[in-house]
Parts: sequence; structure tokens; C-alpha cells
Amino acid sequence: MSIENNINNNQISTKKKELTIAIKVTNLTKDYEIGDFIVRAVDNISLEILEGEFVVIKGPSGAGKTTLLNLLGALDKPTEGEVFSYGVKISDMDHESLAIFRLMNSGFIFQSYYLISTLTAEENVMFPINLIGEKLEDQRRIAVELLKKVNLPDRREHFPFQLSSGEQQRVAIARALANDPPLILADEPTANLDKETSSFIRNLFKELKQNKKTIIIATHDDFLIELADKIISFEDGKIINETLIK
Amino acid sequence: MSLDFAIKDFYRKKKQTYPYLFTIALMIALATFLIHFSISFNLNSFTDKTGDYLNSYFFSGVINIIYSQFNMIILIMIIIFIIVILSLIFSSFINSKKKDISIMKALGTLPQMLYSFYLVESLILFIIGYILGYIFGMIFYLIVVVSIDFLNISTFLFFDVIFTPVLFFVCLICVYIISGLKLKKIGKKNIIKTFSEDIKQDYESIYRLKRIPRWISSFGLNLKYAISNILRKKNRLYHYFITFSIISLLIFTLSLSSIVLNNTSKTWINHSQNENIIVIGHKDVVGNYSLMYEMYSNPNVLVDTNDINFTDENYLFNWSQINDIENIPEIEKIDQRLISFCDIKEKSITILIPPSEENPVGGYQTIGKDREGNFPIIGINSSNIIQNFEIEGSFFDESDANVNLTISDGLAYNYFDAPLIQKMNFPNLGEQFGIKGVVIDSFYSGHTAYIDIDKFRDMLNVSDNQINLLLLKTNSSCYNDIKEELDLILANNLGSNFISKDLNNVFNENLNFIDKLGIYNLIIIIFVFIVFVFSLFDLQKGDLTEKLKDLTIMRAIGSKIKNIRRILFIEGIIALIPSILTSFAGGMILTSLFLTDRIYLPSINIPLILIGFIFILFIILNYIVIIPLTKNIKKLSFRVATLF
Repeated sequence: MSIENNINNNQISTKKKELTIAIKVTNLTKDYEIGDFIVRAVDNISLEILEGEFVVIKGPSGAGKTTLLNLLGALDKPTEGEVFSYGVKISDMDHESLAIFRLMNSGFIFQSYYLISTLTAEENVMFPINLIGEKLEDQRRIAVELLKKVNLPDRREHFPFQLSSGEQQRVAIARALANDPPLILADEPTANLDKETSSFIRNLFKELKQNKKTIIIATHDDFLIELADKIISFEDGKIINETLIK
Repeated sequence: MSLDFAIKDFYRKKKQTYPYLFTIALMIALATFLIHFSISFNLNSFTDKTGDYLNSYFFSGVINIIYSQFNMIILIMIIIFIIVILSLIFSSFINSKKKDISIMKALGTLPQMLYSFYLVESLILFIIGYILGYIFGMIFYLIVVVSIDFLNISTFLFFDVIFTPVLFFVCLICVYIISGLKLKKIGKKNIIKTFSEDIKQDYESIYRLKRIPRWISSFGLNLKYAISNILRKKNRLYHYFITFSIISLLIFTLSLSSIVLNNTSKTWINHSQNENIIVIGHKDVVGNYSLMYEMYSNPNVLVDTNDINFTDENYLFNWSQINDIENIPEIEKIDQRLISFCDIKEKSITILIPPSEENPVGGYQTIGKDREGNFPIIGINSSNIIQNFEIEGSFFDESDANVNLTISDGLAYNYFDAPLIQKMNFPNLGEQFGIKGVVIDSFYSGHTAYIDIDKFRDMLNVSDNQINLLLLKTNSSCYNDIKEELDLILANNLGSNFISKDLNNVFNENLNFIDKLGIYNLIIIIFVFIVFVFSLFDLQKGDLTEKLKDLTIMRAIGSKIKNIRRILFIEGIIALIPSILTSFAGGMILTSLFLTDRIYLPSINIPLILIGFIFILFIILNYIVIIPLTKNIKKLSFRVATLF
């Protein structure tokens, strides 16, 4: 792997102009108020992510990686600054528009999987497809295909609590891909998983990269970092380093 | 999709859903039972429905009114309680879905879609709970009505088609509003914040802990944990507080009012009958007179003008014929009476209404409906009456005996709108009297009037000094000792058809009837207690389910099951103390507001003992319900804990 460290901002900007910008963030700040105490999770950052780019955000725990992902994925609103996703300013959108935006444009993979507890694996995958109004047979067909893809064809009828952590994470990935979104966000997708499952998930991300999906992952996993086009080092809510990888 | 999802969620989360369902069913069962039972017991002021009794005057006097009014307050309190509990249940039900709601929102579900998913599920939960509750309530009602029939308590079976449907729609609207508002609140909330558990994401533990004195730790870690838990999870504290306050308020108010109303009613009836009374007269008159007292407690007894003509000359006698009775030393007082059925009519009056703010012109108002009836009228000598009636107004006396009379409570409340300013006509006798007082009376179910005996003789054309009844008050229950002597005097002077009869038995039956009214409250108290035990169990179970992971971790670290039980127990007690104090204050205010102007207040020790007893009982129950719940923690592994 050849890495070009410390590429200056001008070089990066020139390259971006040639490709479509998937995510653009300007002066983004996110504060959490706990009484008189204010935690600045994201501190005045600006960044651009190109379409089809595989971006890894790494940094120590508590650096603000999850908060940044939440802001990029339209799960949270910034205290200050702007977030553009595929040219749409999502930081000012109302709840309903954000819901539609998330449904159509992004697939979020959470560290804690967050599967709907009362739905089976298949129903969990069908859920976002159902929301966009696909026919029941199409919903089922897509869900079955995706579950096959994540190697869980036999666990369709099982509930989240009947699945192992790795299986739950795979269902969560299948669900994130259900509406074929252009943007995939993943928060520590291989954390706490065994070697075999982690490897399987890495391969899935590799395949997604080949399919030109824009992928933003917060991770410490060296194997996922190997897939990155860009690595953002994040610490105390600030980007301390942005590295392009050839 | 909403219905499909709601049914799946409802069924698949049955472990969490069933306790909610059970509590809803229990609440509705309580309301269904109470609505029907209050009507069956003739204690529902909202309906005129009464049993199809031979004695249509049965239990329709002032005691019925006071009991009915108070029980309506209890019924309204229970309905409010049910609505509050339903609100808490559905608020907590929606809260339990917070994580799934957050996931759905994160996936891009529109807020409207979220509302329909969980609103439909809430409504399904309520409707099933209502149906089950209605069935349970009706079964319990039928069992109770049939059972108390064996205790010789008169009730009638009744199937309500008005109040229960109204209750259904009121509750349905409440569920719709509460669930809708809660969903809207969660729907509008930031997704990341909704992912946080019961303690708010921005909870300021350092600042808040300043309010918990540090020295509490010196009383043990369990107490500190319990206080911290309960203060940090405020929603749960409110839930506990509201539930316990209302339940203990209900139990306390019901118990106190039961004691107070029972004592007061018995005193009133005792005053209206007096004790150790012997009646003397013709056997037909005595028999019917005794039955007319029995009518108070027996709805299947009725004496009317077709049964006896009291003024038949065979029934009349002269006191001077048997005045030897005066020589019996046990006899304290002698009361000569003349009884007869008479047609009476309410006299309507028109009064002038002075101008007021609401009605600046003033005007006239007609009071009365010219109601008519045929009731026993008793001629008495007002200065010699052996009873000590509870009276509103005053008894007529010699000065106004020709123009006034006194009527009983049942007649006053059912045949007059404002008895003390109205007049009573005797249309067939051409007389009209003012009503000077209303007495609480058990005779003829309170449907009688007392008039001056001389005036009554004139009205009925009965010869001077003739009477058809003589009441004797003895100094003790000595009827058997003097019976022979009395019978001898009667046989020698009036003939064998004239007899004496001790009225103590029938009087005691009337007092027992008052005691039986207490069964109504007792059954409600038992039902509310059952609701309390299950609510407590549900609350503790819900609490335990939420804390299971923490508790399993505590167990893994080495905490004894005893410590966990203590924490849960102390948490329950912390919520119980303010609830008990609130209910004590509320119960005293309610009782004094609605009853003090009419009743004899008991000593302050009684409510204190009562609330102390309820508190101890609640503490014991709080401990008892924890034992079976915590038993499972012993067996739990981390794997199981994570499933919750």
C-alpha cells in the first residue's frame, strides 16, 4: 500500500473538481450541553467526500467519530455549520425531509446493530423497502437476495435476539443496502466481532467499494483501513490529518 | 402495513405486552364491576334504575342518598384512576418502543408512519384489554351478586348499555391522545437522544447529586443506590407515585368512609327506632306495623292500604282500658299512636326570585310537581314521642300542631322538591299542613308523616282518646319478663286479639342492613387491593426488566441477591412514603368535604391507625412481590440479560 502523507489542500481541491462531491461539510460544529458543561464533539471542521470514495475516519475513542457520522448521515443536526449531501443541504432540513433523505440516499450501519427487535431478519431487511412502497413480493425477493449476500439465507425467520452478534451485524448491513443507497455510513462495523465475521464484513465492503458506493466508515480495523481511498484522522472533534491513498 | 406491523409487534413482544394487557384488563374489570354493582346495590346516582322489588320504597331515603353520593365520588375517582393508569401504561408502552422507534427513524420512516404503527398497536392493546376486562368484570360481578344473595343482601342483576360504552369511548380517546402525544414527542426528538435509555442523554449527574446528601451513603450503599436510581429515573418515580397515591387514596377513603358512614347511619336508624320498644295493639295492626319497619331492610315486604284498614273499629282501643300497664316498673315511657293510610299530595308553590347578577330581572319559580301517594300517617303526641329522630328543621309542637307536621326522609326526598318550604295536602280529608321538619326514619322505608294525634283523630273522625297502637319503651331488653303480665292485661281488657310484640328483632335487622351496605365498600376495597398487588407486581417487574442488565452485572461482580432485593425494596418504599402521605391528606379532605356536615366524625386515631395499617400492608406487599421476581435473577446469565 502506498500512502501519500500530508497532501496539501490545493492538491486535494483540484482532484475533487474532476469528480462529483458526495458530501460537503463547512465549519461543522456539534456541542452537547450537560448542565453548565459543554462537550464539543465536533469542532469547526470542513471536508469534502467524493462520490464512490471509501473514507475511513479513525481516531481514539471519544474523538467524536460517531457524532461526525451521525451528522453526515442526517441522524443529528449540527450546532453550527452546514452539511451538503449530493448537493442537498441536509443540515437545515425538517424531520420529514430528513427521513425521506435517509431512506433514499443513505444506509447506516450501527456499531450496536440496532435491529428492530420484533421483526425477523427478513422483515428487518424488508422494512426500508416497504417504506418506499415496493410490492410485497419484490420486498421479499430483495430481502432474500441480500440475506444470501450476507450469507444468512437460513436465518431469515429468526429474530435479532436469536442471532449472534456477527449475524446481527450482517443483517444490519443487508438492511443498510436494502434500497441500494449511494451512500453507506458505518460506525465500527467490525468492532466486537470474531475474526471470521470481521473478514466476511470486510469482503462485503470491498464489494461495495467495487460497486462505486460512497462509503464512510469510522473504524480501527486495519483491514478496513487498507480499503480506504482517504483516511481522516480525528481527535478532540477536529480533523488532524487527511490522507489520500493511491 | 401499520396493522400488520402492529399485530406482529403486539404478539412477538408478548412478554412485555401481556403485563400491560393484564393491567388494562384489570382496570376495566374494576370499572365494569363497579358500574354494574353500584346499580345493583342501588347506589348509583347517575341512574334511576332500581330493582323490580315489591317494595318500591326500599332504600330510597337519605342514607341511600348519602351512600350513593359518596359512592359516586368513589366511582368517579376510580374512573379518574383508570384514566391516569391508562395514560401511564400507554406512555410507558410507547416509551418501551423508543429504541425501535429510533431505529425506524434512522432508517427513514416518516413520523406519520411511526404514529400509525404504534398508535394502531396501542389501540389494539386497549381494545383487547377492554374486552378481556369487560368479561372479567362481568364474571366477577355475576359471582358477587349471586354470592351475596346467599348473605340475604338484596341486589338485582343488571346489564348496563350506557356507562360501559361511554367508558370505552372515553378510555379510547384517552389512549389515542396519550399514545399520539407521546409518539409525537418521540417522533420530533433528535434520533441520537431517543437512543438513550431512561436517563436523559444530557442528565447532569454531578449537579443533581448535590441534592442527594452525601451522608446518605453512611446508611448503606443499598439506600444510596435506591435513592440515586429513583431520582435519576424520574418517570418511573412519577409512575410509582401516581399509582400508589391513587390506590392508597381509594383504599383509605373507602375504608374511612365505610367506618364513618356505617357508624353514622346506624346511629341515625337507632335514633329513629330507639331500643327495647314493645308495640301493643290488635294482632293485625301489630303484625303490619312490624312489617312496615321490616320494609326498611326487606325489599320484598310491602304493606299498603289494601292490606289493612287501620281505623277499623275492631282495631281501635282506649288507653284508659289498659292503663294498668303504667304499673309495670320496667316500662319507662308510653307513646300512644293512631296510624292510618292516607292519600297525600305535594303542594306546589311559586316563589319570587329576587334580581341577581345572573338574573337581573328576577322572576317567579314553581317548586313542586304535585306528586301524590298513599302512605301511613302516624298521629302522635309530640311531647311524648319515644324516638329521638335525627331531624332537619324541627318537630311540630303543641303550638303549631294544627298547621304543621313532620315527614320522613324517603317521603321528603322522593315526593317533595323543597319540603321545608312546601305544604302537604290530604286531598280526601280536606286538610293542608306545613312541613316543619324532616326526620331520618326506618319506618315504611322512610315514607311516612307524623302529625298531632288529636288533629288526626279529628281528620279521621275517630273518637276522643282512641288509638290503634301503643308503644312502650322499657329500660332494658326485658320483654320476656313482662310479656306474661302484658298479655294478661291485654286479654282481660281488650280481648285475645290484642297482643304485644317486641320490635328489637326487626330493629336489629334494619341495623344489620346498614352493616350489609358496608359489604359494598369492602368488595371494592378488596378489588382495589387486588389491583394494587398486580400494579405493584407489574411496576416492579417492569422496573426489574429494565434494570436486568445492571442487576446481572451487579450479581456477576459479587452482589448478593439480598442486596438487590433491598435496593428494589427501598426504591418501592421511597415512592410509597410520599404516596401514603398524599393519600392521607387527600382522603381526609375528601371525607371532610363531602361528609362532615352530615356525619359523626370519628376520633382522629381512626384515620391515623387506618393509614398506618395501609402503609404497613403496602410495605409487606412490596417485599412479597420482590421475592418471586428476584428469584429469576439468580438463574440469569449475561447472555439472557442482553436479550432484554
